[in-house]
Amino acid sequence: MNNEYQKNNQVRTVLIVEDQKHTSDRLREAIDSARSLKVIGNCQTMSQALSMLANYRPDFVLTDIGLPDGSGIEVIRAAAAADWPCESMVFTVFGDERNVLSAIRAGAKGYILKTSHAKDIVKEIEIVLEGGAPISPQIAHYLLTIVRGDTATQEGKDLLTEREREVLGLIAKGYKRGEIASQMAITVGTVGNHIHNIYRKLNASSNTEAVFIAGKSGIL
Amino acid sequence: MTLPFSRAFAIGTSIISVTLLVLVFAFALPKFGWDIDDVLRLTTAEHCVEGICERSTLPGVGARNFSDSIIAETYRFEIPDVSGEVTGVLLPRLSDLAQVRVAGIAISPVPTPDARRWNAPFFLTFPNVLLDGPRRDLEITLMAGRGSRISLSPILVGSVASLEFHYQAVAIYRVGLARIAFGLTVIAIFVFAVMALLQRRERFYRWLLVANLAQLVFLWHIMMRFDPIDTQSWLLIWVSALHIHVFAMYRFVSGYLNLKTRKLGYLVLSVQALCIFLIWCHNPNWEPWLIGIMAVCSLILYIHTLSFWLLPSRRLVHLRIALFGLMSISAAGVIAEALRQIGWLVPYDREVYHLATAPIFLLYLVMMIHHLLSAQAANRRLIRDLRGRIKARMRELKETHEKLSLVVEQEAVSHERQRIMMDLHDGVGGQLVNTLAYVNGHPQQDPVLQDALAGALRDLGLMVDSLQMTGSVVQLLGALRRRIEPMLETAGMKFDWEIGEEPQLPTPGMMKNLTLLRLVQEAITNAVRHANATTVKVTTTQDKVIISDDGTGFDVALTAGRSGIGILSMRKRADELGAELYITSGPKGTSVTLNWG
Repeated sequence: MNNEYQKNNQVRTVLIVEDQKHTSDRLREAIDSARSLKVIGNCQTMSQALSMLANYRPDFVLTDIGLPDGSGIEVIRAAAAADWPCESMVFTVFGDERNVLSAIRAGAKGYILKTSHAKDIVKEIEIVLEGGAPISPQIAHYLLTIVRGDTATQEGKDLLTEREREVLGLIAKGYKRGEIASQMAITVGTVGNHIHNIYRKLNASSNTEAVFIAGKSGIL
Repeated sequence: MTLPFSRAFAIGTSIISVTLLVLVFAFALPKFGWDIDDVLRLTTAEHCVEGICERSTLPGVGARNFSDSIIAETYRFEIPDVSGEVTGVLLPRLSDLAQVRVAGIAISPVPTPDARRWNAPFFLTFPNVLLDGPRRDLEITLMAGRGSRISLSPILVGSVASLEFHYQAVAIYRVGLARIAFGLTVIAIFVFAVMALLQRRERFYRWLLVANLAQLVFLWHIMMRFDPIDTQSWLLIWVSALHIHVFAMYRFVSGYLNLKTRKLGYLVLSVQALCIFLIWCHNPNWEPWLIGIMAVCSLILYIHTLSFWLLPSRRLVHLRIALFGLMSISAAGVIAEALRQIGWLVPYDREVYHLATAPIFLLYLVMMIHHLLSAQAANRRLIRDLRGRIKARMRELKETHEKLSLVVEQEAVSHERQRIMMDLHDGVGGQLVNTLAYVNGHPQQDPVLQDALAGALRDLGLMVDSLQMTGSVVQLLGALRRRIEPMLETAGMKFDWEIGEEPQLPTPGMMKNLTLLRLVQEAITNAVRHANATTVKVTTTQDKVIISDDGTGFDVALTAGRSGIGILSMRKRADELGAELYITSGPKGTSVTLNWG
């Protein structure tokens, strides 16, 4: 049903995976309120999510990590491996390090806070569907920990360019893309490209997580 | 203490000290000796050479025989009629073969070349009755082959008992000492052979071995008296041994002191080899000259070697001086012997060549003791060093162990933190979010409840951030912006974000970071709620965080008087941080400054 539907109407389908009822309802309400998006299904468990993903072939999956029967990371991994374009994001209370980082490693394009306003949720989803890459100060902080020269390995150091690290540093300090662009005297698009590259490199590097963990525990 | 001598000065000092020692030998030695009771010392005799007889005083020293024929001379003594018993005769020094007759009757066997007595006393006994007749004469016929000479010192006659002691004393001095030296040399050869094998890097041990082998040959000659091979060849061999000994000592000393000088040694060795070759070619006329040239060459080399000990150095000064002294005494002994041989300065009957080896043995002894002591000291240093290193390694190990356990502990803490975080996330956080969603979706809106729930979630968020982002205050503020921005947007306000330098809190730490975040959040929240502003500006420096707005302001004094809850809690947090809190407010806005500089 979906591919033609999607092309003809320019409406993107969204799968919600969230086990808290009211949270899920409010999210569905928020997404459905946007003209460009439509919730194609919402479920509470990982197994439901995997079968709905295969059956409904959504354009976008927004998933909680801690599900009753497993981890949302598995859902993200399945979405990344799908044979149609399917983006995914984590739906999280705090955007905490452990979940967000492994979700990004599995292929998620960042996270959306459950406390976000309805319009912000929609905006974030639209940005990702248009090929953008949202990034938060928290994620920037985690990534900086990975590439921090003094504790990480040579691999971690070489992962990012000087410019990319500069962008990451400003994001971690809380600056927005527009503010970064004017500070660095580049266009907002260039900032977006840098962020894109950072994500791409992070996904390509197989042992980033190991490096990150090593850097955190002070072994390296 | 240092040796300040230059090379010339060292050589000069060596020459002077050896000369002085030779003079000491020459003038002190004749003073030694003793008188024996009951013994007659005969110093005059009738001396007959080839049928021509004349009175002569002993010691009589003939020329060295360089011909191939055997020469013979006769000394005839009259034994005076004395009260004491005369049953023995002692010839303390003679050369080279002797036959003794009393009253015309031979009392010694016919001499054979094996019975050479050039360095041994000759003691003979005879029956008293021989002197009962009219003849009371004693006739000594001396013979010498090639290379030897005829000589005779005053003889002693008397009772056997009195003479025997004297004979033994002379025998011990002239032959016994050489045998002792021979034995010691054999031991030294063994020791230095082992040392040369074990300490291959210390090449000077090889030269000590060579020196001792040469000494062994030389001492054999003194000890055994007879020649193991034909006289001519043996003479060449032991003369060579003497010079090889000098060369070996030269190499030993230069090696021991790490000197790179060798030219003179090889020059001397070449000249001497040439001399040996020329002697070998049997030119009897040249022989004394060639032996003389070799002796002068060795003397030069030996003086050169001696001067090595005195070269400028700070190391082993006492040892150097001691070894210099011992080698000087040895050299003086050999020179005194040479002077005795040519009959100049040193009396013929005062030989000292036995003593020349004694200082060399002392030198070995001093060297070995010094070596042992320095090896022991080196060992002690090594042990001390090793102990120190073991201690350092133990300390390192302990530190590593502590660090490791700290890492393990940190990991455990980190895991525990993760677990608590998960509980907050999946439990409380999820529940709060769900409740807030329920309240928001409820037809009956309750702003107080909504605010409380949103506030609780924000504070939980700050806690999560401050637990996870321990390193950097500016990044925590960055995270705070993300959490708090929706509230500003709802109120139609925006941030002027001026986060620059990393603030260095007076006492850094996770809890202080959280306190700072709460304070900043409080200030921002106040601006959003009460200031009626459009922009909130957040600025950091190393020692300041400033939150200001462009709102209408309020009366600070009035608020303080009424003990405004918000401001009160901000002051409390500032105290916790060890910082000053300044609040200024006016019609152009309010500014909250946290300062710990």
